[in-house]
Amino acid sequence: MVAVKFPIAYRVSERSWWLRYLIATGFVLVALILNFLPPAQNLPFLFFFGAVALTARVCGFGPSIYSTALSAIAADYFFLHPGTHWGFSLIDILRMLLFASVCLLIASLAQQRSKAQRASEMNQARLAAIVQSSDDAILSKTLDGIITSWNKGAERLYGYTEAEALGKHVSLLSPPELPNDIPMIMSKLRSGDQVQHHETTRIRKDGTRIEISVSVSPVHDLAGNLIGASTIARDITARKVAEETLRKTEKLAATGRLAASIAHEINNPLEAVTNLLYLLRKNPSLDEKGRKHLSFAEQELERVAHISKQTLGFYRQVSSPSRIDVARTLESALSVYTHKLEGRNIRAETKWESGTEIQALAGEIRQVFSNLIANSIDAMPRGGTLTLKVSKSHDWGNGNRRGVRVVIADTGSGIAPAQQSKLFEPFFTTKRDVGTGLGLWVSKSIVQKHEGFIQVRSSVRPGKSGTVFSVFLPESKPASVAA
Amino acid sequence: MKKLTVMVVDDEPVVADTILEILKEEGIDGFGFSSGHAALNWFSRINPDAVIMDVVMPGISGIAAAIEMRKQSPNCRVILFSGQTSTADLLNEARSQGHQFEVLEKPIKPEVLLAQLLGHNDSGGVASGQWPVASD
Ligand SMILES: Nc1ncnc2c1ncn2[C@@H]1O[C@H](COP(=O)(O)OP(=O)(O)OP(=O)(O)O)[C@@H](O)[C@H]1O
Ligand SMILES: [Mg+2]
Repeated sequence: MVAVKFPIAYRVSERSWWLRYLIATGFVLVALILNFLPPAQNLPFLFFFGAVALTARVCGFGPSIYSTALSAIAADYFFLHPGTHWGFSLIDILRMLLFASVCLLIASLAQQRSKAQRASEMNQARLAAIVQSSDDAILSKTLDGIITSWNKGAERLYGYTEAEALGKHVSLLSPPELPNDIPMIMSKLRSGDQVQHHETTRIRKDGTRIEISVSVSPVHDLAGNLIGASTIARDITARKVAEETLRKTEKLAATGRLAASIAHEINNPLEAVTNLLYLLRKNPSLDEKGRKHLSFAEQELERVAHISKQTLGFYRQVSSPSRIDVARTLESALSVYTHKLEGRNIRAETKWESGTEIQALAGEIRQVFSNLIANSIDAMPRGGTLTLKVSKSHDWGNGNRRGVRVVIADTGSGIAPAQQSKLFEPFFTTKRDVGTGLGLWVSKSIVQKHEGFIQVRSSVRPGKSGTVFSVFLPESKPASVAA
Repeated sequence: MKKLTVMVVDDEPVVADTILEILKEEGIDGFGFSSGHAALNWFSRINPDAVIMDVVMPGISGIAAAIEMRKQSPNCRVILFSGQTSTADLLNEARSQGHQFEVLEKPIKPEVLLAQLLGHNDSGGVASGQWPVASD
């Protein structure tokens, strides 16, 4: 039987009736011509059957009856009774009836087949449309991992067009740090297993990484042989970023709670000892030596108190990070030093940009600013200029994070190059009596906790000496999802 | 000058006791309590000139007790002090309800505490007659 598959676009059964009858006539004519070829001479009906079947498939049932009649006339005229006369013997009529019924049978079979095929093609087209328009990336691959289909969602997710992806190996999407991920999936498939909601990382055409959840199922042919796999992948980068942010937030809060309970345990005994030493000094029976020992004890106690305040800062919060205005926080840290600045004849210049908001622990950030301002004031015993700047900024080095930059600069003594590398070490101080050397160390750890960084530039050249501390604090909002 | 009467409230007995003793040295009558509840029970009977109170205590917090005391006796001076970090949160909460409090941080030097109490404070910039707790 003729089983030519006609793509939907070439099907004419939905076209105008005269076109269908014209095509039917064409088929019969072709059959007629073919019948004149030498091998067909003694089988005069063969090609007419073909013409009827084709007509039924392509043009529908009506034209196929028409082509049956046309074929019968043509066969009778040209082959059974060549010449001009018409034969009407009983045998002729029987032969014609037989021919016509075979034709009709063929026509109806062909018509049915074509209907079923059309329905399945419609179905396939609908499925293909669903796959194409899906937001998820849907692709199929052979058992060797060669990509055989690639929808629009896959184009969006991975950045490769269909033309670029077809025929390539799926390892194209695998980041170098996960070399075993795709082989693992493929080997699972080969053993007939499915992979459900596997969360992993893939690499886009532009090199950025995306977090995806992927489900892979085996594809079988009609005979049940495993021939490949279909993959559905969904971008979960946004969700991952949100989860990560939450984890960090909880970590921050946990550190805060720890600091709170340690502060309580330390500050209460410190208060008691401070009070006891005070009472001891009031004791008139204390001799000169005892008084000397006592004042040492008080000095040392003061140091412990200062360390406690630096590390377990009074303002440290237990609560979780909130949106804070960095400029306002710096301003409030500065306000505490107004008297000191005036007393030292230090001019403060400030330059705030508006909208410098970040997600952070306000109390801790204030402590950082307070430490840096205090250091600058200490460095300018005979006056100078303190410059404070807050501006929106980017961290170019690290995935271009958005954030806020704070610059605290002074025209003080400067820091000798040999000492610059030790600045952020705990207990490094040049202020023997008053400093703990914890200010910068604590500041750095707070800034790092907020995923920012702190930098310093300093000069000790006479007349041009001074120090610039620069703090970058990221906005720490979930990065926008890669489109 | 009239003798001052002061209530000292702290859940750590050593802290409360040593402060009471320091006050005694200065000739100030002090009464010690280890909880905000106990202090509130005695507050109207003692009718103190000032209260020195810890912020973080089991049961009612120092800030809640201070709000109640201020309601009962607006002229009583309340000096809060705290060694704990959650103070900032408690203060924020009080502020959101319209109560402003200044808090001294532990460890606080007895000299500073006395200066606050007796009103001749020269370090904090608090004008005489005006108490940290009432400033906003
Ligand atoms: N702006 C500055 N100008 C000059 N030197 C500085 C400046 N900032 C820091 N330093 C130097 O770095 C040292 C360490 O500073 P850090 O803040 O860590 O401790 P500290 O100020 O000595 O003590 P603390 O801050 O605990 O009271 C200081 O002793 C000082 O020598
Ligand atoms: Mg310092």
